[in-house]
Amino acid sequence: MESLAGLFYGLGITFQPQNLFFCFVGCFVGTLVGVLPGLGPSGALALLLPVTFALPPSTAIIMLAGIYYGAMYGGSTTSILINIPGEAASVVTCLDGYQMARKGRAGPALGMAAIASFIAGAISLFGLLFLAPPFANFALKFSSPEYVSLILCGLILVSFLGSGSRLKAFMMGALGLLLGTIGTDPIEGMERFAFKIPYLMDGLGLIPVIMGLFGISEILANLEEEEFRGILTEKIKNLFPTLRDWKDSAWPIVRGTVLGFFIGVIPGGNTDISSTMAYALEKKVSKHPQKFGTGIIEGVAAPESANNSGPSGSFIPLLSLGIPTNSTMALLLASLMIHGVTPGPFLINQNPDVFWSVIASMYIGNLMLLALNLPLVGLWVQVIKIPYAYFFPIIFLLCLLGSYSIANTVFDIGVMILFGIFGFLMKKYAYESTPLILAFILGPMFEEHFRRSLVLSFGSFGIFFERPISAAFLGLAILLLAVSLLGPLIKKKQFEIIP
Amino acid sequence: MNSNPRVQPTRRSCFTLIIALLAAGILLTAFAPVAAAEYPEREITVIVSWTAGGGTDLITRFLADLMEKNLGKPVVVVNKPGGGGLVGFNQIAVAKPDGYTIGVTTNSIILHKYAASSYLDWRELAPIALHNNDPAGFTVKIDAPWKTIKEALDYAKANPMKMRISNSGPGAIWHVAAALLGSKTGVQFTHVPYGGANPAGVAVAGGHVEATSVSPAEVGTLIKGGKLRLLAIASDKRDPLFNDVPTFKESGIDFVFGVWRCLVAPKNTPKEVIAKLENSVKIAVNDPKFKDFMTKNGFGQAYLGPAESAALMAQNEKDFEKIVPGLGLKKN
Repeated sequence: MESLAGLFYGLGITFQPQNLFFCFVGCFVGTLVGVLPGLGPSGALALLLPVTFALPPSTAIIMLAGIYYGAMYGGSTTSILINIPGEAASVVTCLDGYQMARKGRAGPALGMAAIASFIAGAISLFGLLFLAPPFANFALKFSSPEYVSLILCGLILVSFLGSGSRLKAFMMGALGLLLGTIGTDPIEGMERFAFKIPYLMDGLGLIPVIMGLFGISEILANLEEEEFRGILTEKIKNLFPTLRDWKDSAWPIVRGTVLGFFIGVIPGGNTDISSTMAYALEKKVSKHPQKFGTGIIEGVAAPESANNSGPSGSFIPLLSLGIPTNSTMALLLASLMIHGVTPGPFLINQNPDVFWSVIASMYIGNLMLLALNLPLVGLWVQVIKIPYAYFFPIIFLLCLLGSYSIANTVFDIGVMILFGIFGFLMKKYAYESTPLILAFILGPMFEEHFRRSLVLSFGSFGIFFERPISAAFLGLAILLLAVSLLGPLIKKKQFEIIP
Repeated sequence: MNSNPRVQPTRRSCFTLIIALLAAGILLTAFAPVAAAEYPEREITVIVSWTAGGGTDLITRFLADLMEKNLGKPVVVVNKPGGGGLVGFNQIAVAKPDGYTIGVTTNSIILHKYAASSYLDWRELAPIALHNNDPAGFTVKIDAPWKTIKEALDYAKANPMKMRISNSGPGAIWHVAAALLGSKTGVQFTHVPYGGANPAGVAVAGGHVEATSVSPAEVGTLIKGGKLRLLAIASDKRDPLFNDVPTFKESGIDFVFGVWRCLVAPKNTPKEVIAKLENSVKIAVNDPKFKDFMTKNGFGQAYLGPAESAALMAQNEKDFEKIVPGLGLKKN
């Protein structure tokens, strides 16, 4: 009941005109970002973060969250129409979505993508609504030792869950940990790797790093590619799927929603992983797996529902533990901190307005997105037709402005450009940025809690084993590590996605 | 024809030059004194050495808006975070001392001497006016066995290092506050740094540490929410928000200490300019709107002029001199 009361309280806040407006702005920008290849939700969030400085914390987070789940809606449009994913979570939607479009069924594909997204968003929000408060209550028992064991699990999972080479994921994770040690140490106040540069004394800024890795690098990578102009010229009709489509999609949507939600909760469980896994799952349980990739509606419904329930799932650890599970959540964490709100078990008591309005706004936002994506799909098609040449200078300019405005220093622009070039090289050689970013954030958290635990225990390592929750997580971490080390010995079963 | 016509001055250009010089001379003599009297002539920049949205930023922006009204020129707040405030402090210190670049600082300007690699003396800055003071507190969990500050300190004295006090960061002001309390009462605490006042308070509520030294206002919601109990407050008189909580002095402990915020200018800023700015701050802090804002957000109200502020800084420095080197902070 606490959850329902909270939801109504949150709806009350969301329905304030200012919040409704910024919820809409977030959803609109999110869809735009999703539609446009070349900028994912993380990059867009980083860009728009400075805009929120003047807003109250709940309004800011309502808008930023809107960008995240809005991008999940928009991403399917380009996947279906031009076979280019608008963002990483819609990669698998291309497989069947584009084939459907080639068969003249672009309308139902787009319609089902939006409807599946909506259903997944609505169902998974119930999960968030009813799971987050008990999670927060459970997390009240967490002190530094529990965080140490939990983050350790998270760090292992991050490199475990990557979609590419595990070795490369480990390397990026290690690099992220190293970058995280720059700055003043959290327990004794000693400066590390700052080289007497005051700008480095608080560590590298998360936002310039993310803008570089997810914004600049995308621009550079897209400059290399030839512009694709194979857009469908025929008119999109019959957006509403047929009865047959509904029957085929019902279970894939349910399975995709549940899978996406739980992957969202896990550190490193990005939406691109949940959509890929949902697709693979459908292919496995399907009676006609050979038809996947030829343009069947399940291949659109499953990944699109999975990548929309993911965000709801990843809000649970962020709001109740203060732990981000992907780079977008890391940015939301940073923006909450900038607004003086500390996510964690006490958030629900200390800032109930923020906690409940974020959840409530997602219901409203999902409705807005349905309206934005179904009747307005023609508008987004027009957007795709705008040549990239016009977008990239604008995005680049926004990156420059954004990275400067965080701390009003040119130093951060330099950091952003450096990481942009680095990120471009990472893309070229197939290194993922997510493990780097997560390790960059979780590493310093881990160190702080680890060393504080030892202060609390007067120097005894027993503190990690004596406390039951901490011991359980440590056990899990050891198990995960064992599995990931033994994994290659047992025959590795790959997801067969591309037919 | 000369190959370079610019070298050869013509009669006409000489004439223009003379006229221009004369005009400039007249203008200068005529307007120079007036210009000084009419400070400010243009916008004033206030450097905040912390990120936008934090406590110092909020107060400064509110103050700047009110100052703008009585100065008649824009007062613009610019955030220059980094290096624990050092980036901004340095920019204030090296700015032209003309009153158009000023800034805001807390006690941390004095602490920088001990913990940070770049040395910056607070005397590089000239205080304008102190406009806020939040006292330290001694806050324990609601079900802690100690009902008074005396009981808590007696326990801590009997069990050296067993009383763990959370603070807002290594070498941060509340770390120093707890250490100062320890040295005044002869008690040895275990200091546990957290990443800010909020998590430090949460740690007490969660039962992970015994007490915290952060200001009562910063953990106000936890106190009002019945999770924490404030035992004593390190100010001269009781806080109207926590009227039933005694001061340390009432309990016979001479411990008055807090975090303050003070507007500062570069060292050699003219006296008249400082006076003008101080007057502007004075009008602003007496505005009922400012008082409302401070009460609503739980910030302590205080006012000290330039000389008194400098005296407080000197007193803080003397206190820190005894305490900070013993905190075990690493200096590079």
